[in-house]
Amino acid sequence: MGKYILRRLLLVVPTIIGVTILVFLLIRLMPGDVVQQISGETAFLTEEQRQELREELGLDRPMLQQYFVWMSKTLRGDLGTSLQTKVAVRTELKNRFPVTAELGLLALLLSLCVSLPIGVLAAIRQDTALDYVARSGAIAFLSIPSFWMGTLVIVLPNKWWGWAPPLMYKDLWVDPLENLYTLIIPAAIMGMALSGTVMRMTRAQMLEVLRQDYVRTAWSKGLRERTVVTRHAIKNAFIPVVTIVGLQIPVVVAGAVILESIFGIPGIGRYLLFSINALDYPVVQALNLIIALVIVLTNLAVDVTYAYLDPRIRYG
Amino acid sequence: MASVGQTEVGEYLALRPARKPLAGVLAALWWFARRKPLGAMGGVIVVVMIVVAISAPWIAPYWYDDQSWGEAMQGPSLRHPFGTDDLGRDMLSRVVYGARVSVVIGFSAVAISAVVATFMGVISGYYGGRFDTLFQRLVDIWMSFPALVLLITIVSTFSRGGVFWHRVSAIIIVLGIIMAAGSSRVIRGAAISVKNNQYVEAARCIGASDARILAQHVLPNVFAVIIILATVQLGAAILAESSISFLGWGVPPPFPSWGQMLSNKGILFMRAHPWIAVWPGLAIALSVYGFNMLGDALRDVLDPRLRGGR
Amino acid sequence: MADSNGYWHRFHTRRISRRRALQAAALGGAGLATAAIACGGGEEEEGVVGEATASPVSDELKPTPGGTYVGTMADLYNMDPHRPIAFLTHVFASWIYSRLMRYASTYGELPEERWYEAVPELAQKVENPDPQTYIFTLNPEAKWHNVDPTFGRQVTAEDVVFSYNRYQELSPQAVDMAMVDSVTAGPDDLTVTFKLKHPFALFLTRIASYQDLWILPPELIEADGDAEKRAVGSGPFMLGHYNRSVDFEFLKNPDYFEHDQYGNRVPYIDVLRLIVIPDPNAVISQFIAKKIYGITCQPRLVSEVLDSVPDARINRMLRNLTSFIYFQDSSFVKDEGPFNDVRVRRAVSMAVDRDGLLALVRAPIDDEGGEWCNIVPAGLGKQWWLDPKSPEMGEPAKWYKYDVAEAKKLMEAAGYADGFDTRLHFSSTIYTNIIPYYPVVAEALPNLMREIGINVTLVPEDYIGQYMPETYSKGKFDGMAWGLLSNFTDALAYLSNSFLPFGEGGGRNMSKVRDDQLIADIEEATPEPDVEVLRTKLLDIQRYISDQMYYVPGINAIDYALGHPYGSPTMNSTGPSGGYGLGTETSMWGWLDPEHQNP
Repeated sequence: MGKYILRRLLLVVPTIIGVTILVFLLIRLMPGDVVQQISGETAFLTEEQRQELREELGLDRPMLQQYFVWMSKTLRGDLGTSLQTKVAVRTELKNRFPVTAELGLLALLLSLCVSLPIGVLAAIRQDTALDYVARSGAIAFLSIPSFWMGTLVIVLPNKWWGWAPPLMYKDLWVDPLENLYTLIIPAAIMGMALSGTVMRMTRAQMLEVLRQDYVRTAWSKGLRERTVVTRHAIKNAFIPVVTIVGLQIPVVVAGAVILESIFGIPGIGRYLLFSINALDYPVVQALNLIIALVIVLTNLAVDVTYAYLDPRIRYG
Repeated sequence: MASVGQTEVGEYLALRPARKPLAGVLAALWWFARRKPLGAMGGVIVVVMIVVAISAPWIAPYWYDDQSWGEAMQGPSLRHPFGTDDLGRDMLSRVVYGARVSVVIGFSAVAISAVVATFMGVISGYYGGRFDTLFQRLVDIWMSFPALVLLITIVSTFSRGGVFWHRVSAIIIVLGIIMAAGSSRVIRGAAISVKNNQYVEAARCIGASDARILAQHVLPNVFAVIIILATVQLGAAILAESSISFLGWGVPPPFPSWGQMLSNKGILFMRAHPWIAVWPGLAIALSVYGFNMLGDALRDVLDPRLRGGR
Repeated sequence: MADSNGYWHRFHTRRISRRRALQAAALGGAGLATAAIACGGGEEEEGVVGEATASPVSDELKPTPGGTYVGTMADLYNMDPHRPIAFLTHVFASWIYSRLMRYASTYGELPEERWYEAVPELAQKVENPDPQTYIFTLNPEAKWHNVDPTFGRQVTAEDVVFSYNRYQELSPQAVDMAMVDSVTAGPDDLTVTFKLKHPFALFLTRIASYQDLWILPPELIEADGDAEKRAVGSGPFMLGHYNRSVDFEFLKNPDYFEHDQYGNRVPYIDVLRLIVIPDPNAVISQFIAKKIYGITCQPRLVSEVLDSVPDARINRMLRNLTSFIYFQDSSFVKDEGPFNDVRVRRAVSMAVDRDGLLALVRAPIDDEGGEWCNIVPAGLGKQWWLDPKSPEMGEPAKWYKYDVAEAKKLMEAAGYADGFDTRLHFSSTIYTNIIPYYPVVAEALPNLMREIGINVTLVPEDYIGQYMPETYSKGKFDGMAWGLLSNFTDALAYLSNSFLPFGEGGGRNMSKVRDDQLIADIEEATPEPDVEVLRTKLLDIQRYISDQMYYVPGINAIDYALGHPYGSPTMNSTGPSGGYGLGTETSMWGWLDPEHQNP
């Protein structure tokens, strides 16, 4: 077990390095003259002035040097400063990361609360009406673009009852009820998209487990369905589901970018979008890196958990 | 993982002589429709979509950019069964033409994904060793990026002066490569289990070359997985196109794409003129639904062990 | 271009054409006061201009002080108005900072003659002893905000000099003040003298511009290096906080120096809270749910919103925003076709169905509204804008008429009977949210061009990455482009920027038009000291450029703003343009009635 964890950890290192290189290159590939952009909508700088600005921002040095400068700063915790607003990325991250994290966690939670029970039920009652409805429903949920769902939620209740979602985002420690009220709707929409996959996975795993010998033994012992399911089947079925949950993080981030824009939530998704559109290199770089790191680490945690829960599994 | 001979379809086909192939195919389809009605419905949706996309210029009552300002923002009527948009263009025609974009983007992206993923997954899984480790690290890195972020970053990079084909190609290529990452993992898993299969061992003992084994044993077994992945990814591709349109990097006007229509003018005018959103939205939802149902049903039928068949 | 929201909206129960409303105002009808104390017309007159502040309050209107007004605003790219990244920075600046002069504003509609009339702000008095000298006397009550680092000290002439120098050094707009030779403080703390290189009749209009000379405190720049981390000025509001992507909170500056004519301090409201709401549907929903008090509204949703909020006030705004088609610069630099031929350009103009477009983008509740601009927008008013539909336009008026048959003849005469293929570039982001008609017209143009044989492929470009830096700023594109011209506040700015040589004052001459006679005319008109003579010259120039169609003007559509009737009647600053100097020209004159003071 220990050896496995160590091996897994070591493998993470090249992954992370690869991620940093990719992030670095991605941004440098973006055309559009950042210098022109940050010097103003109507700027008519001379080439001289533009060169000055480029030097100031370190954009004139060779790529390799820029990369190392960036990496060393990042390792020291300096994630850069926004080219536009001059606010440190770290400050913004500190404010925004918890918001998106909360949104994502809520979405996952809601999704699990719905999809796990339904997945189990669909498996137990395979090929019945319940099964069909559950599977169709799950797929229907993930067939609707989330921005459309979000718009429907903002427009329809407003047309019918004059309701509108909360006006301003409030931090969790400032006003927990308002905070949850603000986040619950986008979290539900995000959860909807996630639950499709999770439900089907749960169902599949349950079916797999239900056919196992030890379950058959339990049946033949005359145990009640409920006991069989809860005491024997579920625990084993849920193990792979852990993996799926880990893999949903990228989906959560994508959903965050869209839903935060629609519901006005000051999270990382919106920040990323704003920065990409504003050609704010340092911010886009830092954010991509952080998001990628979160995903890598989550996958690591998931793999380790999976190995811990099911020692039969080893990766080749 | 079972080889072809052991699947339900395989058993079924083994029983029927291959003398009248067309009848055989039709019979298989009918059998499929009866066993998996939802999946068959999904299949019908897919076929309708492709037919509509191909025959768009003939079945659409108007050209997609036929503007008639006097008729702008009208609801469904005899002249315009789906209503008109903000420039007086017929929504039915635009939805029909929009199928082309979805089909082109969807199928192309999936094709790229299938090719890349199969190549990577099979080589990685079958040969193992250093190739495997390297490829897996690459896939790890690639999968650490949320697809949408990668999509916007790269598409915006390569098509800022967006002309239709630049933009569409960029979307297709990026989507294809992104989807290939996840697929390659699954295919790799399939390739690994085939590798350890008795048939393959036997073939190797006889002295069959790698290429022969790949062609005769690995690929056919992996094929089922590829098909299933493809159907699901078609749905994902269409959704991705709509998301990327929402974020501003979609197919440029005036070409109608469902994602562009929905995310651009559709939701803007939603409260007063909902049909500009409803028809493309339904088209997206229905096609994604169809692809997924089909994929599910295929999975049940082609490899019962994967999804607990009976 | 700013996402400005008109907060104080005129009350209309029925459809009124703008001309009738103008008449009503001129006759002093509808009980709306147009009391403006700034001395009429004469920035160009010698002697004293405007002793008292301009207050639009009247006897019938009883402002109730206090309360919190809730509106919306977009996220800023940056806060320093001397280095703006987007126009929004200037909108922000108008709450916090002051200019030497500002523009007249009133409840209800300002008569057209007074649009963009400069009235005192920081400068209480202006003397104009000779055409090249302007002596501003600052208001002794003008103080910096009573916070760190200025602590409420008096605004002095040195502050003005400092700001002018910084503006010249940093601002991309600095060319707007190119006529200034020197700015000196003295002999006392409150006197600033501007010496010009040549007479400039519209100097006061220029110095009141809300994209130019904002007065900033030296201490702020010395302490912070720039005005990005803190915003401390002498304006009517102080910045309580700006939580990025969440909200802005502006607090009334209790020591602000302007008063209404009854001696009450302005601003009336205590707090101005602007929420950042990125989604347009969410904005409308919040408005209908009565959580925000005023919005700008997509024209074709106006009726819908009115259904839900029948007592909403509607403000129809005619902005000083020119929309226009511009051509690849090789047309003028290398004399390459097809757009080098004036007949082709005229044909393009005649293929644009301006009235049809206006009808398409108008709110269905109106039967009319919107104008045909030439390079000078209709939003500047008839005294400076030569209306293509008016008899004064003369012969060139025919190039604006929608006449496909004539246009085709012109194409034939130019040798393009079979038409040609070309591309139309436009911005697919930023403008789309702020100016609703822009993307619609972009999509409509190919259809119009097709009628005269020009086969247009649309090329949408990202504003920040492509459109602004390449297409608009440098004219690096092929074929045609559809754009918007920055909101200058005087006609001379539009004409100089569009037709002087690119890089030598022709900041918006992206097609690099070089008409030596035209350049000479503009350069001759620039130092004209007499406003009336200047006006005539500029109108003549507009007639000429209309004939040449170097740039093909589009439309000046109406923008709609809606507001809940919670207090003061609709504010209009600078005519119906909904002005960008929101702070001093709109917000500070607004009040909330007692039952709506707390959100």
